[in-house]
Amino acid sequence: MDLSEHEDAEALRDLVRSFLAKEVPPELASRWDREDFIPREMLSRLADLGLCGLTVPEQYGGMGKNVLGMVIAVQELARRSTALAGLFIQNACYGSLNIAESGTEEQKQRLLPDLSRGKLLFAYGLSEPDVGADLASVKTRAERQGDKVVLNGYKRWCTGAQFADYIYMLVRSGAPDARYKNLSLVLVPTGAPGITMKSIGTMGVRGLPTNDVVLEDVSVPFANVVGGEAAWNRGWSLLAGPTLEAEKLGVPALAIGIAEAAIAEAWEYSQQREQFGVRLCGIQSIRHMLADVQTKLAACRSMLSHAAWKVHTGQPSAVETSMAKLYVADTAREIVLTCQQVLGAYGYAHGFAMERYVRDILVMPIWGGSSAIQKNNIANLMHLPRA
Amino acid sequence: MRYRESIDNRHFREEVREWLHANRPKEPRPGSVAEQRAYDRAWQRAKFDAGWAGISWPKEYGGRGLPPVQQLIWCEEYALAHCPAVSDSCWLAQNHAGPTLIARGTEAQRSFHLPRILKGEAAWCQGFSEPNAGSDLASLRTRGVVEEDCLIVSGQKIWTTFAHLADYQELLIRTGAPDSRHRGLTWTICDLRTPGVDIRPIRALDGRYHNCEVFYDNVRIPLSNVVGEINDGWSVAMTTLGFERGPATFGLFCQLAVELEDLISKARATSAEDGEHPQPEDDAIVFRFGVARAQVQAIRALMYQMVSADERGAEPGAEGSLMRLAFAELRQSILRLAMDAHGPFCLNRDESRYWVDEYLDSFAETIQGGTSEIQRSIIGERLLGLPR
Repeated sequence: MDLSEHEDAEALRDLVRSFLAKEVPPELASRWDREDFIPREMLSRLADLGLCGLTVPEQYGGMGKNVLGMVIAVQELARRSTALAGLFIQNACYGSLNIAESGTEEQKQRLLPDLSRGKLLFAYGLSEPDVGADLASVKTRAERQGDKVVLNGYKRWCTGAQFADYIYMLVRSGAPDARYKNLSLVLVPTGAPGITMKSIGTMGVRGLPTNDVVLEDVSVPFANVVGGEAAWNRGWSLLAGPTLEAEKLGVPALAIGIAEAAIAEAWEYSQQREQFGVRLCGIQSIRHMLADVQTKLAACRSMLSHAAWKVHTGQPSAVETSMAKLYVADTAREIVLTCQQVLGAYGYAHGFAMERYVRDILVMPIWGGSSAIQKNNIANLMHLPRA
Repeated sequence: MRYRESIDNRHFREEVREWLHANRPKEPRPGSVAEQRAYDRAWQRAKFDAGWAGISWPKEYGGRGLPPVQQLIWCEEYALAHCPAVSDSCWLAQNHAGPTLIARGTEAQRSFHLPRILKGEAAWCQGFSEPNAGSDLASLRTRGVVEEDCLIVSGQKIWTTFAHLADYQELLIRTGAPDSRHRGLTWTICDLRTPGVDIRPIRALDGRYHNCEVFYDNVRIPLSNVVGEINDGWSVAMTTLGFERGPATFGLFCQLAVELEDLISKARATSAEDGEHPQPEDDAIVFRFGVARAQVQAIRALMYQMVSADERGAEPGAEGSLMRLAFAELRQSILRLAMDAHGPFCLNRDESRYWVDEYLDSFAETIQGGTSEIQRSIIGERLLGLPR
């Protein structure tokens, strides 16, 4: 059994770290957070590194689907900036993974080359004001009118929609009470007439605003139905298909990146700060806190690596990805809050990055399928009887 | 110990309840710092004019001279009436600056400051921590040198809550040799309008400005402002911290207990049909509500025990660390539960403003007033007698 990281993976980590060291100093990441804005051109810089090709098949200009590489890229980017890592996820996961898996040949040829060049950005449009965990109850309507689809409804938590090119939107394309049976996925251009957006103020992941999106008679070509004619009213199977497993790894990868950064800051601070005539790192309770977070981090990394390896090698992985999402997101939150405590008041005030890590980590157990939903998934997938 | 309320106290409770329901502010506390100070001051003045300020403070300084249990009844009813948050700009003055002056101040200090505190005319802040003296308070370096009838103070304080709103400061300075630690400190009253004082607010994790840095450049403080003796400031500071960690927590705790009940009521009333709100069908959330309510009851019992000790004349001591630690960790746990019970709606800072702000604010709870690690050390050393 060889659990060591492949040298390609190490090379990828080094590549991203060296890029961040040169191009994204910590002050820049703080500024994106402070101004709640990350420049879209950062995506082109990630594409120049080759990161945007990690989830695009070679025949469409990418480097072939590399889930392990995608997870590493997210982790490393999130160590510096959650917003930057989020931008990458919008391109590589929301965009490339979905189109490569579920798009028609025409959609693949049209979109994947630009996705791999970092020229396209997708946002998700799944949730609605009254629809969260129970996505099968979405109400946004899609009416087919010849070679057009006309959309009406209200989407919520569309992260990054205001600077995305397309919203990957789940819509009701048949009778309202058919639940899973008549849903479709449509690529909605964000500039289409009839779309209005409103930014929602959030406590963390600033720089990557989340949006409410209202659709009033928005008309898009039928060619934008993901998977085309064959997938009309079959959106649920696309949504819950193999892409979901790779995507579920995005949030735990983000969480690990943030946790690693928080530990690094607490580790360093404990060696600089003196109280009672000794450095904090010499006080047993602080040493134990830091030992605890390192142990938890190691467990998180192992869990994520195992799940990513199963997805990467095409094995059934629904349970492992749910477990990784659940455990890593919850544990990373504990890690970051412990690190904040090590910094004392400096962990609560602007100046150190710790307060940003705290604000960013809080959403991880909620984003991408909440911890409660992952527990449901795990129990269901492991065939626990309901009664 | 008897938990049954006496007839007198029951009547007192009814009186408090009636007054609060008739007179509590109808408008929410405003957002801007300047407006907040005016709001806090007006509300404090209203309480004073009606005889509800300083319930257990001596009558000669404007208080009511009533027993501590009636002060506690006030706290409970105040929270139940959903009055403005107790932790406003008048809080520190009433909860540890004023009590410190009552316990350790001179007659002149009491006569001048206590009535102003009760009327809301003077807000106070605490100047204890420094950039390199947080948990290790005895290593502080802000220097005070006696010159004729003044202390000349130079140095820097940090994490001074509400300094930008305050008029006076509990200031702890080094008047002894640099290595004198606990033995060379002095507790003095600093008028923040004195030349040489520079206050710079610090932005916190929640985006608001609760704390400040305060710089002192040859600030002249009259010796008559010293509380206790020169170089005896550590014992006065322990008195202050005894109040801060013990009785000052009572009002905050009572409001937290009501917040929990509000949260439970909201969970009961919320439909889970939208699929996003996990309560109340989510057993895990229900379980946590149950645990939180039990913890509230345990801390309530501890609070009653401390009030009972106070009525017997015991000065607050290290027992305050029990209250402070339990309250701080419970507040974080209840507000995290509030976030989880809100589901994804807790992400929306616009719609869930109150709970989001409270949650972010709660992160400071296990840091300020002595970190949880410091409270545990105090409990271990001073209450349990464990060797260092």
